[in-house]
Amino acid sequence: MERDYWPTKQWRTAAPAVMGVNEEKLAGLDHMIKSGYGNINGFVVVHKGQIIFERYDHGYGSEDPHHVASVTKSIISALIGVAINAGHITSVEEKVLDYFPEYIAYAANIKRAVTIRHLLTMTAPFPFSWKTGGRGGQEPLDRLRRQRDWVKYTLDLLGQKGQPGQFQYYTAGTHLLSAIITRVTGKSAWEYANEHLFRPLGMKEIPDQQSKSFGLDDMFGKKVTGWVKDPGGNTAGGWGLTLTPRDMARFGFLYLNDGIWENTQVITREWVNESTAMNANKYGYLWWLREVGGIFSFSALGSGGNVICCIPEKDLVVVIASKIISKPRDRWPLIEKCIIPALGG
Amino acid sequence: MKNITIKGARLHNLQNIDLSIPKNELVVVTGISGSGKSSLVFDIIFEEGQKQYLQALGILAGLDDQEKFDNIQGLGPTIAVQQNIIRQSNPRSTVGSRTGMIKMLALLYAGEGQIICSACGIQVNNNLICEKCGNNEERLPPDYFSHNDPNGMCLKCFGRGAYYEINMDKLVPNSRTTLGQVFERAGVTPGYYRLLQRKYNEYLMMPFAHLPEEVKEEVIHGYPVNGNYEKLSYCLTRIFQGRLYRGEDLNGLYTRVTCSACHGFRIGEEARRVLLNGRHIGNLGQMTISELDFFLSALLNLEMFTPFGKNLLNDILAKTKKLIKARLGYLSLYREMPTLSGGELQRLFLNAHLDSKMDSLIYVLDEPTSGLHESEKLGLLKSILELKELGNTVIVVEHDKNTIQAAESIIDLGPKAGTEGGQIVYQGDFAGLLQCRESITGQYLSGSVAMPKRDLCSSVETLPCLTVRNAKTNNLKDVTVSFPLGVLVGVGGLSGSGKSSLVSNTLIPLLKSYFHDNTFLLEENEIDDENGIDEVIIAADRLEGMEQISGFAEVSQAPIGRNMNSNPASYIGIWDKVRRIFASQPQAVTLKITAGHFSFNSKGACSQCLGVGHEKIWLGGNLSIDKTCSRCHGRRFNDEALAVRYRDKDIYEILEMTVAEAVSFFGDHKGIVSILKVLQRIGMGYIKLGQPTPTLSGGEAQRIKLAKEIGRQRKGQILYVLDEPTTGLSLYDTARLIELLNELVAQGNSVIVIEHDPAVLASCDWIIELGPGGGAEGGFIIAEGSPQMLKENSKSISGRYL
Repeated sequence: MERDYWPTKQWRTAAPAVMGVNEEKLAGLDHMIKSGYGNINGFVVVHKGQIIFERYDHGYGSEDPHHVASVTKSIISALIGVAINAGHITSVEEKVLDYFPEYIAYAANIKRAVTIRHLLTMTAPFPFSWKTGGRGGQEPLDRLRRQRDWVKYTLDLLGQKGQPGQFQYYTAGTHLLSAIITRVTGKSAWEYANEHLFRPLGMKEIPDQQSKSFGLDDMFGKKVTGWVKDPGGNTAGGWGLTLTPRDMARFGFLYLNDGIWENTQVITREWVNESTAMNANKYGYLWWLREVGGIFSFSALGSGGNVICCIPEKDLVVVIASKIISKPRDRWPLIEKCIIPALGG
Repeated sequence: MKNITIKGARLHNLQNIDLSIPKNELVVVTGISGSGKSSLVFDIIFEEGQKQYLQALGILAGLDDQEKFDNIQGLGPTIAVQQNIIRQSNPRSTVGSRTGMIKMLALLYAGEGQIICSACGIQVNNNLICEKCGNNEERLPPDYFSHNDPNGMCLKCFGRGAYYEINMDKLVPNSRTTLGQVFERAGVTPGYYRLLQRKYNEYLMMPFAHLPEEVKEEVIHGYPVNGNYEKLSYCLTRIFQGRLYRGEDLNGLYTRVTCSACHGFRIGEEARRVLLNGRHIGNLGQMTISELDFFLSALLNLEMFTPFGKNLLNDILAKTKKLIKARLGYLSLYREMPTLSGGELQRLFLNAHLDSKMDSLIYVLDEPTSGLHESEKLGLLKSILELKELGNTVIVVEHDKNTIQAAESIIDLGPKAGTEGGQIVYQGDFAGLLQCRESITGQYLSGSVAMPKRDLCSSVETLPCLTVRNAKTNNLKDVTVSFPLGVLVGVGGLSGSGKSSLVSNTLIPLLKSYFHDNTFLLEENEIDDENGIDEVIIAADRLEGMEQISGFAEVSQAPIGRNMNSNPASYIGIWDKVRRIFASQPQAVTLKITAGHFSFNSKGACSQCLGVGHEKIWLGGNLSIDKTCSRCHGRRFNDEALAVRYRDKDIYEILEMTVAEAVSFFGDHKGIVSILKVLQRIGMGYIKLGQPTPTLSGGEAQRIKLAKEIGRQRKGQILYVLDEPTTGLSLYDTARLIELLNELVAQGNSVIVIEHDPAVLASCDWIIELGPGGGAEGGFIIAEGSPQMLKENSKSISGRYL
């Protein structure tokens, strides 16, 4: 896709009509958000490289970051791609245990067989994982955060239950990926992201922060700032990143552009394709895949309804920052009913 | 309405009966096994009451597909405490989780437990700061204290407290043992061995100790594969798991060991650091309820709780005291529900209902005195009467004289079983029952018909014995016990006094070990309930005298199998013969149908219900309804299999036959009839050949096993061990059982029965009594001798009732 500018310093905004978008149809979006989605704090729609819709509620402004929950996982996915490209990791077929040589595994055939690919595709065996159809899904994250060593705790649980190769969503698995990034690059994921993703894209960089407390609010709740770390200094892989909606849009935009940003291949085109290739699980490398009504999209999703949704064939990025609540309303109708129909050909 | 009136009840063998049951009374329904009691009380009264109530609530919309009766009126919401419903419990369910006490204790620990610093191990101050190292601790929410919660459970055993492990030292006795020998010792079949040969090749000849590490690991643990049930490759773990599931004796090679991470406390590290008076919730879970009561009372006196905590403690203590009163004080909170006996389950559930204090319900109880010693029955009866006093109707199916006597209204079904039963023989009070000539129950109770009298052996002391030396299993107090051989020996004592610990958990495993090691024959054992198997720690010095018997057979009350496709015909071994008969019929030959077609696990089964005949519809919680399969309409087989007929019956009709009917139908097939006749003699003539074994009561399952054991051609001098065989038996059936046991002894065998029934004990040549109390207060031999000797022995508690 040819771009006449890159929103590194600033996003351009445009009136929808200028971009060939039906204003009337798009106006329905405001109404739907107001009437049905009480926990949305920020909403940005980027079409053909320009912001055609933007809205903030509940006192938030365009510069305010939000805790995006599991959207964090998709950023980790990008960083793995960067690390592979830089030669720090040979390939996704590498065995996870190889990166933790000090970990003593007993009865470990199942553990030893787990690869980085398993962690990226949520097919590594873990107890309490969430499986398709809503079975399971009681992953004790509160228990994780109370541990001294999140990595050892997770490696202990790896392989205890679950069939390798079966889709089973397990957040702590992504934390292992973050730890692997630290092992191979010498930098914690927040640092590595600043250097290789956030800075090039013009996203707000994460400051170095010390977590004094690992309480519930500090790890998951109101006190989350920057990017949460574990007691060992590993950046939280599965959640804990805070981003402004416009920065979320930048990240999505990178993927829409096959990994190119300002004439640099920030992540490889191959990695973008591999990460978002449709499969039976409808889940790529920490990206949710959807094909509906002939339209293909890939999304980063987080609790409460945090979304970065990319639709390449419509040159569209939809970003939603939400307050984390349980049982949020499905956001897809907003995209399907209000946004896509409003776009031109 | 003052009565429950039923018109035209005709389910199973009920002969279109009308009756009226008074409400707000204790009503006892009695009659010999198979007379129709359960059909009337559970299948009609209980289920209809439940259905009407659920319909009224809008949960159920008329699932009528059976004509059980014409009319029922006067029903209210019904609650059943039925043994074979409870028996299918989840092994994660413990006494503590079911009674709610774990949740209550969890609340107490969460709010008021004393936290130990995770860094330096000392108790933190009231502000949750460790004064030694400055570490900040956090209170744990209640779910961290529950062994069934992902936050609370130990992450090695996942809250079970134990797991199975291969005893490698026993499996690989020395450094020369080859891999091939290891597999043989693990008990693989020749077919399996060939598979392993293809897989492991040259390694089979190598000493196990010298195998490369990865190969060793693969041999022991395997790796995940799809395409089989266990999802594991061929390996020792898979072999042992399979054998375990089939109930085989593993001879100590694959044993349940206490979890090395939580030491059996079931909970995680976090919760083990929260104490009350020096104990964490895992400690409390392992205590007996009596010990817990003592501990918590002392805790209350320490005056360290908030008003909320104090109230909670008092509530928990009220529960412990009630359980102690119900004679269940020897149980622990961590005791798994499937390991409780039928009687214990009944009392536990009854206890819970008494707590609820609801009225205008109809309680339907299934032999609540089952498993209780005579001296304990009155206590239970009091509770049952209390239940009635609360304003409920209590309908009890019972054989026990005390209960029948306490009833305000008795309904006797009969006169006999199956087609000879299903009628109301008597309805009225106890005095009238004793006078009723038509009632077999009344005749036995009044003594007009006497229980069979055996000629008791007078020289028992001179007989050879089987001796267990220094048994310390569970609560046994280092006892040495001699069981005389060639006679009928009874083992009696209060609930929890140690009878099962002595016989089932010490004598039997010792016998198993001896016979397995010496004969290498894998005796066909019952399929134990996989989840009810406890680790067998043989805590005795030795067994003596085993050379004097040529084999043994244990006949327990454990269910025959959880598989709905298992039934009496398959269990006793006649099903293969019947299938072969069908396969040889002309139609079968024409249609090219083999014997395999007539089994459920095959192409012959109905494709929709897979041979079960119905589908379970879950209503949530423990509630479910069975709906007849819409494809086969309950006939379980597909049309092809059903097309074949033998003597004008199809295979489904064969399964629907009772044992009695089958005896006359298969008259000329000796191999089939001989074992069926044994079943008849034990009083099981009313059982259908195809009745799914999970629906059998504990007592019925046991008698079928007994029939199978007796039906086997054996050399004589076999020791039969029976665990409470009179469960579920009326006096009439008990009389038949005594006759049968007498015959076994007369043929030169030895019989040991664990029993409470005074009539059976009085018929024994020798009685061994344990006591004096239950739990820690039991485990001693308090009396040994003939029934006469026990009567004269002041120390014997059972003697008084003989």
